[in-house]
Amino acid sequence: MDFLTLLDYLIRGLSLGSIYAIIALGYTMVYGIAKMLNFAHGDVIMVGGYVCFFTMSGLSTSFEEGSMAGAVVPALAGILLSMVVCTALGVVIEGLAYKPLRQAPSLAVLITAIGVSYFLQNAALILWSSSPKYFSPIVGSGQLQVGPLSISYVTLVTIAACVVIMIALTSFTGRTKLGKAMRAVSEDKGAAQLMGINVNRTISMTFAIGSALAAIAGVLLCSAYPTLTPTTGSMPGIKAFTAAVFGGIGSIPGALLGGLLLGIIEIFAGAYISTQLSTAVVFGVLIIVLLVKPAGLLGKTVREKV
Amino acid sequence: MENALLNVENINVYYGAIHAIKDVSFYVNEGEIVTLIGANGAGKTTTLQTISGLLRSKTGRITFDGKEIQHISPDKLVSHGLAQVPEGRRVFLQMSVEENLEMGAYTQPPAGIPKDLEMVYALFPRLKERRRQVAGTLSGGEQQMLAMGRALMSHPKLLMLDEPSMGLAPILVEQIFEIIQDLNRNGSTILLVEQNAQMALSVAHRGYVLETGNVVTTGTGEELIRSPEIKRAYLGG
Repeated sequence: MDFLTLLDYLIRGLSLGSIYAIIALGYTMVYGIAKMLNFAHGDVIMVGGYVCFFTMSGLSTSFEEGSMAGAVVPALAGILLSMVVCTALGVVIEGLAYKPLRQAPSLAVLITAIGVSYFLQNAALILWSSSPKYFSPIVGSGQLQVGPLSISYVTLVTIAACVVIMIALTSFTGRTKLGKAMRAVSEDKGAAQLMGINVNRTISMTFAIGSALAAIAGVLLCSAYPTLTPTTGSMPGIKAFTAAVFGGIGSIPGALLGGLLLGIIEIFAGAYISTQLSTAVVFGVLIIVLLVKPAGLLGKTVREKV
Repeated sequence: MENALLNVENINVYYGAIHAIKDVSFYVNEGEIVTLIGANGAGKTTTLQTISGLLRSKTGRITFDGKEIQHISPDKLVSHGLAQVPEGRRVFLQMSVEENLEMGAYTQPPAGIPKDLEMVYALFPRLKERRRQVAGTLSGGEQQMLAMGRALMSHPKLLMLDEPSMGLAPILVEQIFEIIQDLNRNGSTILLVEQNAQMALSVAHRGYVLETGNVVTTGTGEELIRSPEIKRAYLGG
């Protein structure tokens, strides 16, 4: 076990973890504001993957092979279109399936979310069939050579995307009026309403942001693991949910930390324990963390003062 | 009362099968402090929440500033000039003092916010000292000041206060009530719900006594404070 291999695993772990973190952000933001687990989130990722796939393969024929425009335009169009479609899908799902259940017991909402998840998977099965599509990475399959270490462009772009998203989201919730309103709604809906905040609109904005992030995650995921099927989103979705709980559900920095740790643990467990067992190790770690710290790593329990 | 700022006429509110508010009517004129007093469970908070739109009245009419408001959602009422300081303060504990105040100004044009912040800080200097602290670290009295300051940020025509004395030390209660009177002298109209009847009646121009969802007595603050009945039931003497 030399240092170089270790570094290579670490970078790959960070990259996988970045994808988990971006997905986990969607889970955690929606949970924070609507107090519900949106189990359909993983399937929105899958839809994002398909939209990007079809856009890219549709456009790539209209460009000269190997041209600069042929590499950039389809990829950009693919990402943008999948973000638009996923954002709309997220808002529609929230409006049709979850909004009518705002006053319902949380179990009803949870079951509905699972139902939406199966609906999306089966709709994808009908529309796009079960035969896998082979995704070509949005940034090509090139590699960057740093001394003896080679890092794929996909890995670099994934990590960079995660950093940019985290910075953008942190300043959005910390500085903008809408971002602050989101935090207010997630703390106390009634009080937020008394401030003049439209709670329903704020919740659907949160779904829109979470789903746009899901689209980005979908494109990155498919670039790293290019086989695309209607169930592509479900396992990463569940792992990212684990990451959100691991970091402390409802907390944005928690989602980042949980996601990155989960990715690193998964890669190292696969490398040094067993590839088959890597997922089991991931969930094992989750169980231990929750036994020791039930609110998750960065989850906080704020006590009310009288 | 045709020209009252707030006019509540025969409202009836239910929690499922429970008839919580029965034909309650009252009014608040511009410039007044009006108080609703009564024991725990008499329907004071329910009445306030019905006015602010968090609860709905089955029948009756609520007019505010010349408009019927019983079907308007709570978030829209804020821009009509209605602000409520809810029971238990309900400040945003994980947000800073200043962010809480900014939330109070949610419906206001951003250009005026710095000036309004200064206005609230002048009223509550403690809040200025703690502007960057998260509200969860404030004492109960400071949180009450924050909740009131937050409500003032929306320039309300009517400020509704729900149990501002709850859980506060006597000295703080006096301070809060002095501030309420100051606000009123500076032109704020106030609807005050209190269990601390003594305190409330001593600052109010008029009061209404609620018992199990009914208005049983009304009068000026002084009349009510002297009434033997009220003394026996609410003032411990």
